[in-house]
Amino acid sequence: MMKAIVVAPRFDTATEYTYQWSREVVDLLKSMGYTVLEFSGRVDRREVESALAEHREALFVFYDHGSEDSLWAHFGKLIDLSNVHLLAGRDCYTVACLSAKRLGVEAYKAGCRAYWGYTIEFAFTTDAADYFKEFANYGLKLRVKEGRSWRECLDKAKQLARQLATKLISMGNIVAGVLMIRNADALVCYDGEPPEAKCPFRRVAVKLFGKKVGWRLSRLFACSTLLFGLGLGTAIHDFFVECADPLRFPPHGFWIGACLVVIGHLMVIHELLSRLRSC
Amino acid sequence: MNIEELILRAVEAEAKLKPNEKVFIGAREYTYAEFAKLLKKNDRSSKKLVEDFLSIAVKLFKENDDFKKRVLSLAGAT
Repeated sequence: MMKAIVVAPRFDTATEYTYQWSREVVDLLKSMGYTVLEFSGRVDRREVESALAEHREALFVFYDHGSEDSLWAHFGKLIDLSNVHLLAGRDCYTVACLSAKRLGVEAYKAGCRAYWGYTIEFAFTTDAADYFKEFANYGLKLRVKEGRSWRECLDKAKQLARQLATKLISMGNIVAGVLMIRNADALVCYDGEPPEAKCPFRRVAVKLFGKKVGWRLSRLFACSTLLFGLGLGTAIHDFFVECADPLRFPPHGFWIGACLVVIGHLMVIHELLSRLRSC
Repeated sequence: MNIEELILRAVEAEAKLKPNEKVFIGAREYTYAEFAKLLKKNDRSSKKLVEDFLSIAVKLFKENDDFKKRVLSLAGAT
C-alpha cells in the first residue's frame, strides 16, 4: 500500500495558512488510496524521524518554514543535515523557504529520489492566498492524480504560476502577481532537474559519470581515489627507479607511494562503512 | 520618472487599497504599506528580496501590457 508522511507544523500566522493548504493535499492523498501519517501542530522530531526510518519508501510532504539547510518546526530544526539521510529512497515534496538550496541538494546526494522545493523564501499575500495555495499544491496533485513525471510536474507548475500571475495582475494585484512569478522562478525539483553544480570537481564528476552518479560521489571518495592514483603512480615509478639503482638515497619513494595507496584504501572503506551505517 | 519609481508608486497605491491584507515573505509578515516601505528603503537585510521583486516587475512592465497598464493606472501616470 502507498504511504505518505505529511508534516505540517502550525505555530505562527504563516503556518496557519500553509497548514490549511496541506489539508487539501492530505485529502487528495487519502482519496488516492494512500495511508497518510500526519504530523501537524506541535511536531516531535523523534516521532517524525522514527516514522521516516520505519516507512522507507513513503512519500514525504512538508509544509512550513525552512532555511537553506533545514526544515523547521516550532522547536527548531526538524530535518537538517544530520538526519537528511532519512530522505533517501523517497520522493520529497516541500512547500518551505530556501530548503532546496542546500538541504535539497544534500538529500539528492544522499539518494532522495526527487526533492521538490524552493531556493528562496516562499512568498504569498493574504488577499490572494487561494491562488498561492493552488500553485503550492499543484505539483503534488499532478504527480499523485495523473502520475506525471517530476519534470512534467515542474514545468506545468511553472506554467500555472504564469497563468495565475496574469490573472492576479488583471485583477489589479500587482504585488501578488510579481511574488507568484518569483516563487515559480525559485521552484526546483531535483530529479526533474538535478542541482546545478558550483564546484568544478563536481562538474567534472557529473560529466564523467552522469548526473545520478556524479552528484552522489562524496568528497572523501574523490580524495581517496586521488590518493590511490597518486600513491600507485609514485610506487610504480619508484619501484623501477630503485630497481635500476638499488643504492639510491633516500630509497623510500616506493614506500611513500604504498602508504598513499593504503590511506586511500582506508578512506574508501571508511566511506563504505558510513554509508552502510546510514542505510 | 523611471520604471522602478513607477512600480514603487504603484505598490504604494495598492497598499492604500489593502490596509488589512498581509504580505508574507517566508516567516516575515508585512502589511502592504510596510512592504511598500521595505521596497523603497532597500536596506541591506532585504536587498535580495527588493532586487528580485523589482527585476521581475520591471521585466513584466516591459513585456506585459496589462501589467504596464495597471502600474501606470495605480501610479496615477495615465
